[in-house]
Amino acid sequence: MFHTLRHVRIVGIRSAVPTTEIRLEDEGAFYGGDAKKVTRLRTTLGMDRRRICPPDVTASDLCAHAADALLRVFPSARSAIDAVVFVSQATDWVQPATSCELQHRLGLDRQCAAFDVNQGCSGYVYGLWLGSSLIAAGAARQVLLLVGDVNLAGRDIRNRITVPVFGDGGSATLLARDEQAGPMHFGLGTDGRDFDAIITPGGGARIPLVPDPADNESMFEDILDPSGNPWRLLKTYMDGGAIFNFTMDVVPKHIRAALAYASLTEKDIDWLILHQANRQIVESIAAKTGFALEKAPSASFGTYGNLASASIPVALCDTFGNTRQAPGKVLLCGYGIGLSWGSCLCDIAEWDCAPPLDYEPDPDRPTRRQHIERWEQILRGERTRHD
Amino acid sequence: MTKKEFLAEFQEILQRDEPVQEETPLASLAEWDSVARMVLIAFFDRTFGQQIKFDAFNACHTVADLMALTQGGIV
Repeated sequence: MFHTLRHVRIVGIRSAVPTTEIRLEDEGAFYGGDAKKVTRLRTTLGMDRRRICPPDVTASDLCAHAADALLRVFPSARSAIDAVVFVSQATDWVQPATSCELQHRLGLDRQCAAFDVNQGCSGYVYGLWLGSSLIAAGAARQVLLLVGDVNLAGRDIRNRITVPVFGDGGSATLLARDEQAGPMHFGLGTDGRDFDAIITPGGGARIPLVPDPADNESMFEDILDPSGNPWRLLKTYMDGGAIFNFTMDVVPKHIRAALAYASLTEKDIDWLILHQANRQIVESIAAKTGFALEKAPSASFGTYGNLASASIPVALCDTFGNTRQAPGKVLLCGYGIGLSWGSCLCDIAEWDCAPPLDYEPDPDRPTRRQHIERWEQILRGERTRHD
Repeated sequence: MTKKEFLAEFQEILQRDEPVQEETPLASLAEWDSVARMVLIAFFDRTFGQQIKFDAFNACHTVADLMALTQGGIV
């Protein structure tokens, strides 16, 4: 059901993307060298470039980089943040919650709740909703919302359905209690009947990795679909047709309902910021809901790729980061994996925003092998965790 | 809309240099991929107010079969 949360202000937002850029024309070989097909992908889907992380960089790193930039502008927030929420499908650890380590990494007060939320394309709206709920209920004065995803589809470019579309990104948003803040209208939904339309089948409790390596072989095996795309139980599977049907079925209706709840029409909204699944989908949704295309940006998809949960915050920074003008009345809408969707309608009259930041990782950061060796030494008693 | 208009529109959607005919088998069209399907679905929605599902295309073998999906919208 739609509902309204009050006394919450979006104080500021930052986002971070890796510097490695892959251009569509560099991947032409994977479309059989079919130049016409590549042109169609560009003109129809809006594919152009995407950013991918180098090895040993995770979503938490991108989010922490964005958070550091934001907290430098609001240094007193570090001791006033009562909750840090990390929304991602690519947590650093199976356990503990990555947000716990981020509490320490970002120098937040220990009187701070930390938890992770496993959500994808609707994740930013879910995060705003959770953070705003905590504040509106009096459970937090300020909330740091970290939303990002890295390397969900893998890097095997032979899979032309997922890999060429996705990019990497992270973000940080600061929410704070403000008695003068305007209302934020939310609506969220789920259809679990198609929970497996986008799914990583293996590696969880339902299809676990098991102690005997021989029994895990099928998890790492490439299985080719009729079109020759390789899939793997430990990688993201996507039924594009089902997701497209769902999106066109659910999202325009939801947007119309969100407007009706707020007693507004599309003419009253300055910007429709949609999850950047691809340009075709963004334009189709805009067309079906009566929004002029100028109000429904889709350029971020072509610049950064489909960033899953980071898609909306990066689009916000990309669209408004270079202007001193606040966005005004915005309708944010995420939709996708779950299958789930969510919208936030609010008036952003004032906030601190900047264009997406380029993230250059520390060249001396520990490698995967070094992490493994460190843990082997800890387990053998050759070193302690704090050495 | 007329069949002629649709064939021109469909050629445009496929971004194809050569025209298509009613009898053209879809399997012979290299451009008839998932991107083209999305664009056609959006076109049917916009033009006829009809929401075609992706699966509906599985039963279509020729361009004429696609036209028939509009149930009289293309004559």
